[in-house]
Amino acid sequence: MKVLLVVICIAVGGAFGAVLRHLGVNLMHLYIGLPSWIAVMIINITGCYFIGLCFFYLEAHLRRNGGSRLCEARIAGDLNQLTWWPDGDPTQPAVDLFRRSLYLDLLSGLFITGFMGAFTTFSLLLVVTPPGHASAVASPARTTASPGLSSLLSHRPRTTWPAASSLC
Amino acid sequence: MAGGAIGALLRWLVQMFFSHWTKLPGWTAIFLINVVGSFLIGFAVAWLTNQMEIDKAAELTRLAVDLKYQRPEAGLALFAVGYCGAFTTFSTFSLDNYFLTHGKYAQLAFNIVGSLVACYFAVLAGWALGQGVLPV
Repeated sequence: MKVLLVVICIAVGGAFGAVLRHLGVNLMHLYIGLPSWIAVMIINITGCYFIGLCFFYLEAHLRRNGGSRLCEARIAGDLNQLTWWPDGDPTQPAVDLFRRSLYLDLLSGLFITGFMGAFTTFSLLLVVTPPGHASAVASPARTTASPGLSSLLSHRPRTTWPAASSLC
Repeated sequence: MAGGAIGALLRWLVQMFFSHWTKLPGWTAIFLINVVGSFLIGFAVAWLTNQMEIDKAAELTRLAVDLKYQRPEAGLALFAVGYCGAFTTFSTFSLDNYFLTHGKYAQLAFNIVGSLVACYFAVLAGWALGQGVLPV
């Protein structure tokens, strides 16, 4: 049951993350006029900020078994100074521990693995490059019989390049 | 939405497999995911845009254009933007790098440089396969 809930959370988060990325990049590219690779970069930086925030918040609040990766981090020493963020008492009743563990799995599945993971992207960043670079990437593999992306690019003005208009 | 959901779920499954069934460090899962996703997006973009171009040329002699022409574009949105975009991740890659900064500098360097180089060549390889090798 718990695994099923986690799967649903990841799927929902991933679906919304991908759609929001698509909308965000389109908004920045088509309405503000930013190049698409800058739009993807901004999305990635924003996602990195929020994944750090989410991770720290969830680990500090809900991880009670002593296995948090924050323990490895340099920041661990500073956590003692924070009286306002992590909950104070590390000893919790068993029911509360179970509940927190469940919330941690669901919320990290929804926000970290699902939403932030799908919101940021590595592959699109590599594909969404300026047209000159794309042609340079494509040309070694292009055959004479197949009109590929690079020839498609050469028939279109820069503003409607597929990487910007249909990919993002 | 469907592509995003499937991509995120598959990424999670691969991460689970790595953490439970292998003794490799956790960041290697994201490394592999990003390389595979980059290969797939290179392949998908090359192959689908190729098909779009051919469909477009074929439709010049016909009138029934719309549905057929939109099919590769829908595939591009589903597979490249949705699936590959959600399967690969930059934020988890960065989070892993943050934790590697605590003493594991060799792994950190390998993860950053290796990811960029391997993913670049994976896109290139996918592109080559999608554009030149497979018949459309």
